Amino acid sequence: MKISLMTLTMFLRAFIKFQLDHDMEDLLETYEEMMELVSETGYEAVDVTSMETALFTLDGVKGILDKNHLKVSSYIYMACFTQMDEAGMEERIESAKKAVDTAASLGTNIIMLVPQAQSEIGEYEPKAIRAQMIKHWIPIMAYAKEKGMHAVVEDTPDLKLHFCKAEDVKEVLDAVCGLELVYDSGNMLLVEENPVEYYESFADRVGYVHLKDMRIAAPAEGYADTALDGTKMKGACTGTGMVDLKAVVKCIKRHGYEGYMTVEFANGADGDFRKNLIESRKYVEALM
Amino acid sequence: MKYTEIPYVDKKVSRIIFGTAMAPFIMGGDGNDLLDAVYALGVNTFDMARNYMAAELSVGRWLEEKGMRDKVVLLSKCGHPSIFGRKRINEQDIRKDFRKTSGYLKTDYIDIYLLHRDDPETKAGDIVEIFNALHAERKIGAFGGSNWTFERIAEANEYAYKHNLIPFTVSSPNFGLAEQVADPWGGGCVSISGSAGEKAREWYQENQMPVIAYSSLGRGMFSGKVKSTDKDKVAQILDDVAIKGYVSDNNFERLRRCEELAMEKGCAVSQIAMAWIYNQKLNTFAVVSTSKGERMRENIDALDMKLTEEEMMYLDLKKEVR
Repeated sequence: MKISLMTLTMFLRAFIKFQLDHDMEDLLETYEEMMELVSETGYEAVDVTSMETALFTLDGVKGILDKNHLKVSSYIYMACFTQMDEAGMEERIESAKKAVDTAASLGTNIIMLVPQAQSEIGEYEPKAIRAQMIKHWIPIMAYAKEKGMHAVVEDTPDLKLHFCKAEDVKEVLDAVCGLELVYDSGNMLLVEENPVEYYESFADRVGYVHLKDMRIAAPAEGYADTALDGTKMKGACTGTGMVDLKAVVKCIKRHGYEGYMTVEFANGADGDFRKNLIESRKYVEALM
Repeated sequence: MKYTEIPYVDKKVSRIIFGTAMAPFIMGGDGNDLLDAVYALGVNTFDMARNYMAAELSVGRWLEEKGMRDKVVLLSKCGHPSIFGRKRINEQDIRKDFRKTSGYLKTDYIDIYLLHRDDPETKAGDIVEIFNALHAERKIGAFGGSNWTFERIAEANEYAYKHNLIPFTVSSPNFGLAEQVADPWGGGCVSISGSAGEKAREWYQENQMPVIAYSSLGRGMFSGKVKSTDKDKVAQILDDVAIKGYVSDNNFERLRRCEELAMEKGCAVSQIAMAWIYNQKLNTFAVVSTSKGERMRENIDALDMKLTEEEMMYLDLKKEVR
């Protein structure tokens, strides 16, 4: 097993600022600084998102990662896989296939497909939403397999997608031959399921791992996920939250998973990125 | 409204400065009506920072659309550490911040330009040289530090006087009745409130350097939205930053005493807290953020409120009874 890093939460503030002021100079500078910090704090690989390749181009991202001696552990592609219009489906599938090619260009054999809920998703039944995911993912999975890639999907924290509970995730994995799970160690808490039992139920279908710790969010905190019972939760600095990561990693090891374990980084209350990145890595290394 | 001169600022500066680290400004939204309203009440100085997301963009839009540039005093801040903590107090980053600030505000001149944080490892003299260069280039008027200790300002100014350069003439620490109990912003903040700030206040009183007090109402703690009986509900009323920085038993007692005085004098709690600032013997300006013009009116009225020495001490827990 190897450690990699998910930088999404690190980059979020910069991305929000960019959406407001469209200042690419600032955004790029922040991105470069972020990757330098990731490398300096001892990570060998990062998950790269389609947002990054769209903003900085594929070559741009590769250049920055190469400069910092960072590998790509997975490529995260976000799209509206639950969109109900049949007319747009072909285009969405073709775009996802291009994302598979992008993943390969980045040197990873893992493409993570992330469904983004459309605004009117509440109008649809949960089974219909998952059926639409399946319809999109079957041809994408076939293409990925052809290219020697693993297509993976995660139990998502956006409960509007009805794709977090183990039984719901199983329904989709069973319907899309070859599709594997990104086991996320924290998201199932939102639906009151146990992280270790969750892994056990998907052990032979895990294609990737996100090590995520969770905490209860304060009422006024932004960007929190909402659990079934209305509790707000957010990612916690690794090892400081509610998830029994020791038990989770023990379970993962027992089942022989040998791929990357991505630290889903959340900064500590002290705001010290450097210190918390190092401590998060060391925490996971100690468990491994 | 009261106005006073600050060295190297062409226009007189209103004692109340409008703070833009809030919606709609930080999101780049349309704050024109609010800016018009506070300007109409006499506030002619606006506090921004490169680090306040899209606030400069928002204010710049107002300046251009309403032709306000020559009527107002602009204060902005530079050199804030990066999101990841990289120190940015150097000529390259300061000039880059100036370029962006002037671009977003659509002006080539910033009346008051402050460093948003200090870096004690950088020689104060080097910073004085950078600011003097910007001043000589007619890019900035007065300059100084936000979150600088008075000792570092003194160090900077000693260098300036020795080398016949313009000194720091403005300081912007946290100051108010609410004692800052922890650094709410993750590091580098300087407060001159409470017992820990006494020496600093003595220095400012002696020097009469303008003190532009930020979070002057404890980020909402003394704004009137929290009552002294709200200890259990404070998480629903104040944001994380306010809770971390200003929620304490002592501040709740100060708030209770503010409520007591406000009741006696027939005014708002925020006015008592503002009056406490303005009755200090410092050369104080207060940064105030409000989403409503009428609230600003209350703050302005507080400029004329007198508090006795006994009331001042009572509010700050230096006297137990009146």
